[in-house]
Amino acid sequence: MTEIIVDRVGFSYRSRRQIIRAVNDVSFRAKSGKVYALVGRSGSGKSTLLSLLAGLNKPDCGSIMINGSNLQSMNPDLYRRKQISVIYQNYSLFPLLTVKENLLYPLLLNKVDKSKALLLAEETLRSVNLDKSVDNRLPSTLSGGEQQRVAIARAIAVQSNIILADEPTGNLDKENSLLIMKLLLELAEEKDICIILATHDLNLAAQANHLFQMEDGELSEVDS
Amino acid sequence: MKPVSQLLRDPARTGIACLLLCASFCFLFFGFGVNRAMRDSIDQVQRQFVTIALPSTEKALLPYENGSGQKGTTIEQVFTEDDWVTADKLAQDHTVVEGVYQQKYISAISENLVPLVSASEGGRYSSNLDYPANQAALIIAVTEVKESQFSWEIVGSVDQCVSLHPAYEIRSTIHISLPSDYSPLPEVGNHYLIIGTYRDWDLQLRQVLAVRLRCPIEEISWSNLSSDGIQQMKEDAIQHGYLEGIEDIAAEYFSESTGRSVTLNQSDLDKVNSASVSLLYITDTKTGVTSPAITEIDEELSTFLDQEENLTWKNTIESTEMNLHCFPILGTDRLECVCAFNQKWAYIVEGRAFLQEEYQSGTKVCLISETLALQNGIHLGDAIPLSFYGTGDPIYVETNSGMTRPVAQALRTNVPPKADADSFQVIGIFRQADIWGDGYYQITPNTIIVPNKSLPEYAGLPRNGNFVTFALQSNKVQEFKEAASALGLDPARFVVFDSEIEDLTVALEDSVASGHRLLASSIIAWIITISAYFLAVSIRQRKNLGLMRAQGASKRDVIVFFLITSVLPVVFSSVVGAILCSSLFKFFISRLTGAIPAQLVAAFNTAFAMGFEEDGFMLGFLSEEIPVAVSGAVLCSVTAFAVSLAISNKSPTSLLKGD
Ligand SMILES: Nc1ncnc2c1ncn2[C@@H]1O[C@H](COP(=O)(O)OP(=O)(O)OP(=O)(O)O)[C@@H](O)[C@H]1O
Ligand SMILES: [Mg+2]
Repeated sequence: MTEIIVDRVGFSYRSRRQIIRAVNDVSFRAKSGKVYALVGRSGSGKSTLLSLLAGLNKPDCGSIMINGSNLQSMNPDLYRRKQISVIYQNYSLFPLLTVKENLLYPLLLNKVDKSKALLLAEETLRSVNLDKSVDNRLPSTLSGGEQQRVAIARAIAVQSNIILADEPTGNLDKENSLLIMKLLLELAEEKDICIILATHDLNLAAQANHLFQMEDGELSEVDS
Repeated sequence: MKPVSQLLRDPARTGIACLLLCASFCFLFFGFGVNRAMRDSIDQVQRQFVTIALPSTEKALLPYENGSGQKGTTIEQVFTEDDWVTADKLAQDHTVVEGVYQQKYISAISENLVPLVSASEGGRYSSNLDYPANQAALIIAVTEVKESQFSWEIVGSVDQCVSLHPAYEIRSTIHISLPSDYSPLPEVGNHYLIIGTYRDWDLQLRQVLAVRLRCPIEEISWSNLSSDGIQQMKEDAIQHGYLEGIEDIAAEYFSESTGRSVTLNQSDLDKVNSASVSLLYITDTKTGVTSPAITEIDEELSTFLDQEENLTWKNTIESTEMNLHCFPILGTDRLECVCAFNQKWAYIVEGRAFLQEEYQSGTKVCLISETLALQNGIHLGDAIPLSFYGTGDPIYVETNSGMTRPVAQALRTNVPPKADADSFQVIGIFRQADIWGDGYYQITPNTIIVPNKSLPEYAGLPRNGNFVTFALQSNKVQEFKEAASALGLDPARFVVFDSEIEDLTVALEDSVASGHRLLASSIIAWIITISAYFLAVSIRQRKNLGLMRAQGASKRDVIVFFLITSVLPVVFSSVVGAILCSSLFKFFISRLTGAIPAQLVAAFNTAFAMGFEEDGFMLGFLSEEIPVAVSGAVLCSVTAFAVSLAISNKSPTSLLKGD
């Protein structure tokens, strides 16, 4: 049972020229076993909010509690390695590792037994509708959609309590988008995982258990 | 995420990076190498062309006054004990005196070697320099006994040659002299065993004639000697009243090749086909009586020697034979400070000089003269046994021109027993410009040179100019003289051999300056390449590192990964660069030696013969590469560490976005 409590979190990008308030006074709760969708215009702050949840950026104010402990006080490396996995908007695969090795990397960081990790990696790849032929190819030889699915598979394989997905279906055709969404919903329910995804696809978002709307860094829940 | 496989999976980029790094390392090593080579050359030149000052070995008649006010003169060293005290003070002044080198001296027997004697070197016979190999034992039949002013002159013919250096010829007439109070006098017709110093009068006379006739000594043949017409000449002279000066003339020698003629008087004629033996004084072991080494012998030599009472004779003959294998040994801490080598009167033509390690550890290695090597069939690398003996005090003999020269001590029955033989390896063979040269501070071709430290404790440390060298700082002759004067020591007490290397050093310093410029540009080029490389690598790796961090890799993981992937190509390239540079350099040097200005060639050739060989040169060069490579790698690692630390401190999101 995982619970995320976001309380009045704010974050600004500071550069020498200006300050961009990307996330403004955001509060919400998320629980395991559910899928939460974030929608909003481009530039509304979805990716930024996810990066705060992933511990990649530190909020300027407010707090993020994971199972009752403050994210600020946790070891960020351990948190990223064990608690959370992220599917990035721009897939972010290691260019010089094969598909399988890309999946193995976080698993081995988590000290999963090598043979077990291999098995898990292959299994997960199959589950996102990628066949064996991609296993030993480099990401650059895959199509955009295939790369996206590898990124999703990598996040799933770690079996962390929280999955953050930023436009996971951005490059996928309708069929595959639905497949991924179905997969994520099943995953959330079966493995009791909390999944938060940011998307432009309102159809997809509608399938989530909860729907949030972001606008100029502010978050509001949309009743389904 | 294995760093090495990551590098190998991107062969094009890794390859280009390595190639560039390799080139810049190669250039860097080249810069250091050339610089080092230039510096070495100067060092070598300065090492080999040392200005030296030798305490004068001159002796002079000095007045003295003893305690009771009695005045007189005595022959003494010009360089006195007091002078030494001052000289030692002078040596402390390192602004003018770079160091003082003391050569050691001892004698040695080398059973299988026969020393050279000047008799075998046409035209330069200087009997004294052959000592102690000029000792002979002969049995003669006395043909004449004459009384002269202070002595008895005995003439005889050789019956049997008991011991004589093989290069000497046995002359038909032998002259000896005995003190006027000697008794019993040898009798005509009796046979005598004599032992003493052999002097080939015949050869001496021919040498004089050759010089006066300006013809080669081989040309002189006694058949060209005639006394015809001498009588007529004298009668003419009496008639004209100018007999004075020509009354002694007994014969005339006419040289067909040069057309010159020389007149000889009776004492010259006596020298034809004859030799003299200056008798040794020996002490009878039983009676303790010392007398000239002549004894009547009317039996077989072996029978004579087997008799109890003739033991002294037996021993003396044995030691005389042993003297045919005796050599003067000169130890040094710096060959360039042995005057003959400093002045290139002697220079190495084969092999090399001593190495620094050999001086320091006293390795048993030696240098011998080319003539000695040839006569005894010794080659570079051969080992020769040397057993040291004697007190270590050098024996000085006079050359024809009156200069003194150290030679081996003669073995006598009363000389302490010799030590066990040590084996010395011949590492260099030197040639002498003038084998039996007559000048100051020369060495005979029998001198065997070894590192000081390889000699036994009791080897001598003679305090005089033949053995003590003041090496001056370069171009400090004037200052040296002034410093000596300031201490109250007459600078004329030193014989200064100025190496006059100024021109050479100016030329070399020019090339050193070019070397510096080359070094500077190579360092700059290297720094630019390395910076560009690290910039490129950090840009390239940024996203990877961010991704690693985002997935939970610790800072340490990230730093290690970056360090390995960035430094490994550097290390690899530095090794390849070093190898590449060495081979290029070797090639370059072999081409370059042809292009060196003529004035340098001679200097380099001498330098090469003195151990400045190409291999040694390369070795010095490589020893330069290793520290350069190591410090280069360390510098790169530090850079890589700093870069990776900076990267790991950035937030993963900014890395992922690529800034
Ligand atoms: N590294 C950054 N530095 C400065 N400003 C940034 C940075 N990343 C995002 N921003 C700004 O922060 C705001 C929120 O950006 P964010 O990426 O969160 O939007 P988003 O909702 O994910 O948009 P999209 O749907 O296009 O992905 C934008 O105005 C953006 O310009
Ligand atoms: Mg976004």
